[in-house]
Amino acid sequence: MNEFSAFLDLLLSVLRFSAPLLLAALAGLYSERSGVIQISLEGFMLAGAFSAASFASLVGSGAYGLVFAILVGLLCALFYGFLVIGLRVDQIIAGTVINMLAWGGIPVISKAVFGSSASTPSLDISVRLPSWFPIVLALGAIVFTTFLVRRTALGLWLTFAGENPDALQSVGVSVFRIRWFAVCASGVLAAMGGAALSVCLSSSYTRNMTAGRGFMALAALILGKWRPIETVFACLLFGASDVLQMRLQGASLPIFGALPNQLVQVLPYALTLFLLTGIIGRSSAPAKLGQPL
Amino acid sequence: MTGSPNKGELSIIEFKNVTKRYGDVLANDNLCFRVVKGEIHAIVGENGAGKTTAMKLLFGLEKPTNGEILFNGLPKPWSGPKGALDHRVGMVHQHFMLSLSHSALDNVLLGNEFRSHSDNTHRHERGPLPGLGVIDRAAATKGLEALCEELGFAIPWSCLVSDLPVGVQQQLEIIKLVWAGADIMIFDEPTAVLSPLETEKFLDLLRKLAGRGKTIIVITHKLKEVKHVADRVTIMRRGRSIETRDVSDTTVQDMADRMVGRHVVSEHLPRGSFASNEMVIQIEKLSARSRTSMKLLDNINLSVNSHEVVGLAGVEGSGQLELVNLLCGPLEYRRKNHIDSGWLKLFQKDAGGMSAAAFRRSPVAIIPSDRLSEAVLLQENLVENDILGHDHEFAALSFPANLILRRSEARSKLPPRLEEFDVRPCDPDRAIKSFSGGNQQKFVMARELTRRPKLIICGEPTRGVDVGSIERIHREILKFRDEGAAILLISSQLDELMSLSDRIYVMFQKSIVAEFKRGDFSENSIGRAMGGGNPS
Amino acid sequence: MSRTSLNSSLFSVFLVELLWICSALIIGLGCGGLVAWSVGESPVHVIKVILDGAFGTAYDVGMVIYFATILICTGLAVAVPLQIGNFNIGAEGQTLMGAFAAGLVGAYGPSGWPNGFAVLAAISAGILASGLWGSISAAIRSFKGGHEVISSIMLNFIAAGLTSWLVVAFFQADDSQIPETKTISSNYQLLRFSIFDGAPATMVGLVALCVTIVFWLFLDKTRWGFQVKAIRQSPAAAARAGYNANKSMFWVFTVGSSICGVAGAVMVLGESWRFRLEISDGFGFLGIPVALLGRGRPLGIVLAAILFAVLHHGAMLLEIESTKVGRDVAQVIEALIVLSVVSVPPFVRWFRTKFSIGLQS
Repeated sequence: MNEFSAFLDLLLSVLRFSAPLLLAALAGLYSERSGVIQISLEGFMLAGAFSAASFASLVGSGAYGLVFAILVGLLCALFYGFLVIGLRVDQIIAGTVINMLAWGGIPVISKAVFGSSASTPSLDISVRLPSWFPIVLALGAIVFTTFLVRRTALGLWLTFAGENPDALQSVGVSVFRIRWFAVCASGVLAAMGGAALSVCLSSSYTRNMTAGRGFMALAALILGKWRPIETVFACLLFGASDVLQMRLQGASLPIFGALPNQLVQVLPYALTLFLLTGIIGRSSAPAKLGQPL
Repeated sequence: MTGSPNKGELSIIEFKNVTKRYGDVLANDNLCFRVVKGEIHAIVGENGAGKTTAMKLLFGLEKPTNGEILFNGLPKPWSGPKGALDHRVGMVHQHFMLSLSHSALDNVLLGNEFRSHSDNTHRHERGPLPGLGVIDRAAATKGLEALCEELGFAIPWSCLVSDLPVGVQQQLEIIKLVWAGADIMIFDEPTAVLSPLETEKFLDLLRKLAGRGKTIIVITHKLKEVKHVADRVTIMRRGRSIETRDVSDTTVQDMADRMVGRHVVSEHLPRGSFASNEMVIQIEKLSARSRTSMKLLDNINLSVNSHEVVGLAGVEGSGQLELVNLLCGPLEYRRKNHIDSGWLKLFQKDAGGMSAAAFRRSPVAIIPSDRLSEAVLLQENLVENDILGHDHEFAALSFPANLILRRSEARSKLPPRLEEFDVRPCDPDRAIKSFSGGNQQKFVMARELTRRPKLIICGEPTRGVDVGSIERIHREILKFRDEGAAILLISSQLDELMSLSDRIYVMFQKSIVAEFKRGDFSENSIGRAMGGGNPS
Repeated sequence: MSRTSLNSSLFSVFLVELLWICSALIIGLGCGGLVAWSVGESPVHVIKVILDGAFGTAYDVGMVIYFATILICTGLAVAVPLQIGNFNIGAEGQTLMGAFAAGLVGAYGPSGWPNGFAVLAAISAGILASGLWGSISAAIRSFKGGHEVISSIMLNFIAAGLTSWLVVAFFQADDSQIPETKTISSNYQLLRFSIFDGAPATMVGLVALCVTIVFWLFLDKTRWGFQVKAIRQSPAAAARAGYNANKSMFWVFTVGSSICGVAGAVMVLGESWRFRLEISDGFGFLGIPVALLGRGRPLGIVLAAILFAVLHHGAMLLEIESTKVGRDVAQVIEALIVLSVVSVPPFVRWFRTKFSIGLQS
């Protein structure tokens, strides 16, 4: 019984750790399936995390914080969309700029509003959202996304926008609109992921609190071959390696001896790298990924 | 004017004095023609005659500068492809609008996600949130199966399009239009990728569709097919509609003359005869596979001698490209694919494992068939483009001095080359993209041929080239033959091959199926061989 | 056309680049001022503090030179692969690996070697390590077709994890509580120019300038440079011309990333004298905006590196001189400069087309 509850506990913490990652990875899925490269997930997540925590502390409600984060995520996505869809700026450069703005801009705002560039004020436990909440959010996002991509017309249009936009255009669906929708969905979901980190899983925003999760989400997306269900499993794998890394700190395993946790931490990245080499299977991107109209 | 529709017949589409101007260029000039309901209407013209522009105007992708396009007697009510499709006007493009990584079913459903029957009375309108409607793939498959049966298609609906042969992909495009309810179907060069046998079947299908009450417009330059299937034909030249007439009143020769604007005689170009020929390309029993073990070439036997033009005929994708690439193609291509058996020799030396450096120093010239993407750097001027592929000529022989590129030397050597091939304007500092197609091609030929190669591999030398330059280019090719070069000529124009070649090999499904000698050339038997039939 | 006449005079090239950088600087500082103003700080004060922080004392000038040295190297590491169309977003990890290798050679290499030789050995080790690390991305891109941006991002994280593990597990300094290697022997330390009051401005700054010139000669005057240009502009035409795109991409990317080794070595041998985990501190990443602002031109890269070094070092004084704005504002300004560089021309075009369509209809 004890072992069972320990296992359950482990499972739950894996889910908790995976949830923000999952939201971000699904965010990437929308954008990249529609043909827009998304390396600014990290910036979107940071913006979401910061805006949720700061708004929550200002109005005293975690839920409002989350809503505000979604709005901010949408705003960031609109900006990104304007750059890459409207102006056709190189998508990797635009993504890099968004990340830089998030890295530099958030501390500036934080210092101006709260007097500290390191973190936002700590949220009271009553203000924070429950830690199971991100799991529910992620579950909802998974179900919705899978349904959308596999069963609906919009899903078909989304995937055609990334594979053969001309064909989509020729039947009268605006590729611009589909890509705008995808980028906006991406911003909203990634910001939710960030907000989950700051108002559900901890009590404040701390400097660079996503710690590369946006990039990890991108890795999960590639590992999941840009398909919803596979991406979910990749995220769970990454979440598990995260939890393992913390649980195993200093513990010694029968065969390997003491497992260095820095190496466990880079496991997801190494796995993705191997996938890129084609040694362990191939993951092929949408045909028109990164090509503006 | 002959061929005008009878008073009782309703013209469904009419171009009325349509003019389209791009800057200084008149793409369509006072274009007039009408298409009658239920007919098969062919539009013929040379490359650049304005056929594509006319279709863009019809679909609303561009707006005419002057004039109007009538649909059922009224100005056309749509302004984009979707609107056209709503009025049941659809088009099969030359480059298929299919996503290779989607299933055949999804490709057909795109744009008509909620239909389950081809009949227009069952048409479902899109709701306020159409995107979130659920696609009923099972019902759609059922409806499509029924439609396939009527048309005589067999399409594996769950297969990815990338796994389907090109003929089936075209069927998919056609069924997509029928499924979308199109009554007017426009085909852009539909038979370019088909073998003669498939072409035959396709033309039958066109008649079947016309029999079902569809109006069909075929854009093509293959006049025999026009004669074979069309009811009426509109001939275009330099953006103008020369005339529209009943096909039964005209001959292929007549159409050709009007298309080109003068009497077309098969060119009788002077050619010397030479006895002692040395073997330049020699290929014996060559078979090759790609890394994914797809068959690239199958048991090729081929030779090209000096003083000889050898033509390579075949439907697109029969293996011509693979053969050229294995001979002299990009290094990566040769490394990725391997030769199973047999050997190939250039200048009587084994060339199977020839290094890039050795190849480029050998006296071989390549004139790629896709000029714009494979032969030039569009942004750069003529000097830089002259260096392309020949940079070793403008450097010292030994390391490290051979690294330095002597641009001034390249510049000083360029003008005589340009003059020899009459490239106009003769300005080395102009970017290549600002030259006309004919002058670009002449420049490429100047770059490759003024190096006096002993072997010339030449693909589609006159594609996208104006009539005036064609003859000049043909003469140049024959001049080099007479001077002793060996020439391998790949062309999709059978008459070009027949007028230039000394021998013609025909390729079909990656192997050589027939060889013809000059004197035995006949369009009929070569055409049959291209489709895999018995050449005799 | 006008390009040739401009190219004919070195002076006018310099002038154009300078004008370009200056306009970027004005836009950037303007935006930065706007940011400062919006959080309630006087923009003039912020700009004054940044300039004062960068040029106030000889020491500050020395620091700017030190940072510029690093940024020239990481900027080149991004700019060189960009010439063949590859985006090296992995300069951060490559710099880290270079610094680590240089630090190890400095700490454990023979302490008897003469200074010049020892420094050369340590820098070479850094170059080798960076190049090797970059060659992973390069190989995946050229021979397997995997996107270099993705592999570079992964390799950045892997480099951080790997060096962290190696330091903690094998090379931890006994005299330190934080994860770092032991101090390098004195013969491996780069000599600092005395006029800069002990700031780590070293000869390597001149070396970086030389590397930039070599890079320019390579691109403009050699057959390789021509081939690189052809491959970037039209892979198909380059392939027909017999140029091996995969091989070129591999080498250009690898050589480019190896320049990071110089940056990493300068950090260890010139400034900290030991390898720390956070040593690259985003400088690899800053190479991207430097390369973009420099537009692949050698002079542009040098000027962009100096500009970013000024911002980076100057903004540090803000921590003391301003209660409302911190050093992070430098990164915002840098981001805004890049943003204006990449988006203003298309924005003007976009605006124009919108406008002319409005006139037509």
